[in-house]
Amino acid sequence: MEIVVLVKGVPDSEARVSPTADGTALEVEEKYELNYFDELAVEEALRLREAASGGKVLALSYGGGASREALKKAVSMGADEAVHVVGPERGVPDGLVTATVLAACLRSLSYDLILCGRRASDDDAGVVGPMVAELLGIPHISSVVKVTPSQKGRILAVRDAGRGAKERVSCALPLLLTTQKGLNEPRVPTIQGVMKGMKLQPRTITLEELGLPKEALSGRWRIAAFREPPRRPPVRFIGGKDPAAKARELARVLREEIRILS
Amino acid sequence: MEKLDAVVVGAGLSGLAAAYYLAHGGLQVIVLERGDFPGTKNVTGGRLYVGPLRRLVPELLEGAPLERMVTSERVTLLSQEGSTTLNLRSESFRAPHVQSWTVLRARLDRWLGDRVMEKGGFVIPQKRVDGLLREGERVVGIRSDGEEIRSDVVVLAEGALGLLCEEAGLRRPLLPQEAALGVKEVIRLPEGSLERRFGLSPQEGAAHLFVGAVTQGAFGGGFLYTNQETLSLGIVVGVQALKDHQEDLEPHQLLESFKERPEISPYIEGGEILEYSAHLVPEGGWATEIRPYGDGYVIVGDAAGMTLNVGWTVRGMDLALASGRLAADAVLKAKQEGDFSQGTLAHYHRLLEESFVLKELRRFKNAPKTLSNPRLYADYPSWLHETLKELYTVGEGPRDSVGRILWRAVRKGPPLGRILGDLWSMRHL
Repeated sequence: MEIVVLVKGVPDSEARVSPTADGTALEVEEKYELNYFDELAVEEALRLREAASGGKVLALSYGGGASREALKKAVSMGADEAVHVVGPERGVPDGLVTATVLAACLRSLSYDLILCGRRASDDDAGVVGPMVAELLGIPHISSVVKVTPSQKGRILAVRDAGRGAKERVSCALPLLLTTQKGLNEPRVPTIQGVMKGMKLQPRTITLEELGLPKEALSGRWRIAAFREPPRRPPVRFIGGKDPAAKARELARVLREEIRILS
Repeated sequence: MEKLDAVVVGAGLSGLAAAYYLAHGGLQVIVLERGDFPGTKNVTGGRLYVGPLRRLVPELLEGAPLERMVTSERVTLLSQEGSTTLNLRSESFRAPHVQSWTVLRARLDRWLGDRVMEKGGFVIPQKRVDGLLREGERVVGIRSDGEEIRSDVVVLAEGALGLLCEEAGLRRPLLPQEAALGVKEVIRLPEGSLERRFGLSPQEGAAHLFVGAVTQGAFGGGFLYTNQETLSLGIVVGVQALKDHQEDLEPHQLLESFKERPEISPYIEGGEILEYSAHLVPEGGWATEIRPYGDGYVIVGDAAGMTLNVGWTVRGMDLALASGRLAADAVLKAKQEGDFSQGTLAHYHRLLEESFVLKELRRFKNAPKTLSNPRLYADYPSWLHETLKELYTVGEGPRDSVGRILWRAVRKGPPLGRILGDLWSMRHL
């Protein structure tokens, strides 16, 4: 089975992120990682390849330096190939542009199955996967937590239908799946894998090569303003000598101030 | 996977210096680091003495993210209710012959990691080395998370604790009196206030050490270094002293009390804590006597006990960078000869002997013993303070003459013989 995994590089969870002075864009520290939900997708692709003892896993990303990081990680985990559609360093206009670019690239690739994260951990939009499927004219199943290939070119999937409810779905290939937490436990790349990722020279494709009309690459909405999330309070020590008193104070703080205990 | 030329365990200064020169010499080298990137787990006070390094590791200093050149050296002896400060400024500490720079490891180590990568080395984070692969006595590679990586030589740059070396029997465990615990905060100050508060020009920095009440008389002290926009503020307390002290000394509480001292609080007022860190500090110096090489391996930096605390100067990073460089030179020679046995790698030891590293470590071999004297921390700071205070006190009647004040101080303080003895023991520092 030939599997393409769509991957996105997102700011590292510890990267400093703050709105620019005019509040319409974000300044992000140059630290990127593979979007966690895409990591699930890469892992599932590798497991399907291993279970079938054959096939190919190709990672595809559209963007700038963050995409290179995402592809590196996918290859260090074990993806066979990486394709980088070179885009702006930051600020791809909107999800539809990303989906249009990825779909255009996918038309030149061969695939049986496309996997991608249910959403990206940075913007939480959750639209690119379904849009790609739509543009390619193939079905998609969202939020899958279990994937089983069946004979006759079908996929059996269990999808998370919210609040713990599950749906079992069966669908013919080719097909796009978006991955949800709980699908698997992504592997930690081996040292040899990391070296492979670091050596990676992904195949690059430019937007010109895809031959997309200009209007397909301009966004239809723009960000008017960001509002920052509330800041985390600094570290706080619970002082004192008596362990029991310290524990009582801790419990009080958790209950009355932070309110995570009731 | 094919056998690599070298595996470096730990992306600190010694490991990265070794990796840089190994990669520069054309060897295939990887650096394994348990942190998220080089520098995340590494802590210094701190400042880097660059004087001895200019000829040894010029490539690692050129363009490095150093913070401020230290032009002002300050020492404060703290008693419970006051303090005595010495402030030394010298034009000769300024560029072009800067003697030391303050540094932040999160910046410096990451930058060094990038230099290693540029040379073709691989710096691989989030990999903890669990053990060494042995064939008889020979070290032939490492084990990490079930994966075995073989190499001609392993550079052990694992840092102060040296557990890997210890477990493999390459060095004895660190004793409590040979280690201290450091806790530190990096505090960001409002723009411009650092220069104003310390009386510095934009490039200049201050290094300030504190002895006495800061550790409640235990072996150790406080430190304050000025970085570009931040302060590094912390304390170091001996592990043995922590065990022996009558009261429960909690390092973080010592640091909190330190911050409340009137000598410190004006400096950090309005500051924001950016980082909080703690680390073990090797204090044994060369008395730890670790043989830094053997069949298939070399030990560099803190893991080999290469730190030098003589009271006024506290060093480790310069020794780490130098030892990494010299280890790389020895490994490159071994590669040329196609022999990685201890006979060839002993060249590293010879290079250390010829360099400032071992010359200094040997000269000050007894410094840890001298500095473990509790009177230096418990008695002298307040004694000196009390005596000087009398000189500066004006009351209703005439004050005593200097001679009488000193005589009284001598009678009140530790026995004269002991003071002279302590002074005598400090002649080697």
